[in-house]
Amino acid sequence: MLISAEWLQGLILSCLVLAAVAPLVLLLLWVRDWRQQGLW
Amino acid sequence: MSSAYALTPQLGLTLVVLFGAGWIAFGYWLGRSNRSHEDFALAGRQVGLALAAATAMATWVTSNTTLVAPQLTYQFGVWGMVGYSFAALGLLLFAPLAKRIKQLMPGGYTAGDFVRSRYGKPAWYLFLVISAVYALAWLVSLGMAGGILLQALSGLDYHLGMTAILVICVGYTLFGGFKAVIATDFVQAVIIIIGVVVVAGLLLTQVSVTSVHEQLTQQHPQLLDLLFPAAIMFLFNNIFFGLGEIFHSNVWWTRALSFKSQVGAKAFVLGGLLWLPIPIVTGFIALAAPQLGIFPPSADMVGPMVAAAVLGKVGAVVVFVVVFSALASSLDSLLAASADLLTRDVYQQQLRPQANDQQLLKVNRYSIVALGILTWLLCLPQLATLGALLNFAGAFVASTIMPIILGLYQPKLTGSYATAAMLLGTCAGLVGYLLIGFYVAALLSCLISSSICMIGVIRSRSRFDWQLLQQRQD
Repeated sequence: MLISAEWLQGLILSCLVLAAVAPLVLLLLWVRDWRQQGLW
Repeated sequence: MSSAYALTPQLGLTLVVLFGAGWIAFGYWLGRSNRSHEDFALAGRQVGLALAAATAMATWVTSNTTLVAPQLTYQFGVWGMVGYSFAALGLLLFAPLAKRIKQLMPGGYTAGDFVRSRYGKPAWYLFLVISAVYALAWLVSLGMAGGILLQALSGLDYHLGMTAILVICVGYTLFGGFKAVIATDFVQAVIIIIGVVVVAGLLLTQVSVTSVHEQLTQQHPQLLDLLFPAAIMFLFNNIFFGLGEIFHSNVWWTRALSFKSQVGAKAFVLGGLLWLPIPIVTGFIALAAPQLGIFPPSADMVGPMVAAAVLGKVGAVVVFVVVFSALASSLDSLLAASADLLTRDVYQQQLRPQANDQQLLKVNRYSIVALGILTWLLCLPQLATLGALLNFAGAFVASTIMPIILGLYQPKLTGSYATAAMLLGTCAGLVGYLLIGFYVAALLSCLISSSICMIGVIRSRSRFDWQLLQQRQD
C-alpha cells in the first residue's frame, strides 16, 4: 500500500509551515522572558 | 578534486574558524557570572521558558535529525522520516516527569543521584555503565558527523572536521558551563529551524513533491510503502529508543533540575512540538535524492549532498551552518551533562565526599576536557555509520524506561528488580541487535525490562518513602 502523492504533499507542507512558525514562537517567548527579567 | 564539492576547502575552513571563534567568545562572555558549581552545572536552577524550550528542542535536533533522518528516509522511505518524528514523543512524555523530578529532588544534580537514592548502589553502578555507553556512542556519533559534514561539503579531511567541532564545543562549554550550553542552544535552535525551512522551501521550488512521488513509485516503490515491514519495526523501535534516551540521560535530567519550577513541563511540551516537523522536512530532502540522480557513497551523506547539489554554494553554506549548529547544540549538552555525572557521581560520591564547591567546579571543567579528548580518540577510526552506532546504544537505554518511570511514581518497585530489569533488558536488546537487526534492539530491551518491573511491582511488599529522596540529596 503506497502513500498517495496528495498525502505526501500534505504531510511535507504542513510540517514545513509548522517549522516556519517555530522561530517566531521562540523569539516572542525570549522577548517576554527578557522583559520580565526571567531569562534565568 | 575540489570541484566535486559544493564548497572549497578554504571556505569550509573559514566557516569553521568563524563559527568556532564566535561560539567560544560567547561562551566566555556568559561564563563570567558563574560563581559556584551550581551556577556552572545548572545555570543557578532558574532557567525561563524561552531558553528552556529552545534548549530542549535544539538538543534533540542532533546528527539524528539532520544527517541520520535523511539517511533513514533514504533507506526506509516515508516511515523513516515519520518514525524519526515520533521521537518527539520522548520530549512530550518527559514533560510530566520533569515536573515530578523537580518536586521530588529540587536540590538534586544528576540522574545518578536519583537512581542511587531510589534504588541503591547496585542499580546505580549499572545505570552509570548504561549512561556511559550511551553518552560515548552519542558523543562519538556527533564527532563523526562533524567530520562527515565537512568532508561531504568541502572535501576537507574527515579528521579535521571532527577535531574542529570537538575543540569548539569543549571550548565554549569549558568557559561558560551550562549557561553557555543553553544560550548557544537558543541561537542554534533558531538557526536550525530557519535553515531547514529555507533549504526545504528552495528545494520545493525546483523539485515538486508530486514529481518525487512519481519517480519513487516507478523506481523505488518500497520507499512509499506504508506496509514496509522493516520500516514499521523501525518506527516502534525508534519510539522506545527515543523514550529511553531522554528518560535516562543526564542531559535531560540536568535540564529538568535547572528549569524554574513552573517551567519544566511546559518547556518539554513546547520543545517537542517545535521538534516534531524537523525530521519530516529533512527527510523530504533525502526522498528527492533518486530523482536528482544522487546516490551517495555513504547513506548518511545524502542530506548534505542533495542540498548542496540543488542549491549550489549558498545551499551548501546553509546546510553547513544548520548541521554544525545541530551537532554543536547536542555535543555541548552531552559534554556538560556527562561531566556533571563524572563530577557528582564518580568524584564526589566515590572519591572525595568532602570536596568543596571550588574543587567540584575544577573537576567539572577537567571532566569536560577529558571527555573531549576521549571522544576525539574514539572518533579517529571512522568505524560505523552514524545510525548503526546510535542504534547499538538503543539496547542499553530502552531498558531504563520503566525503572525510571516507576521509580518516580510507583513506590513498590525495589532496587533489586530495577537492577534485574536494566540488566536483562539490555542483554535481550543486544541479542536482538545481533541476531535480528538494529531496528528491534530497543523494542526487545524495553519489553523484557518492563516485564521484570511489572513482576517486581506485583510481588513487592515494601513501599519506598519519597521523603528519602529529598533527605538523601540534603
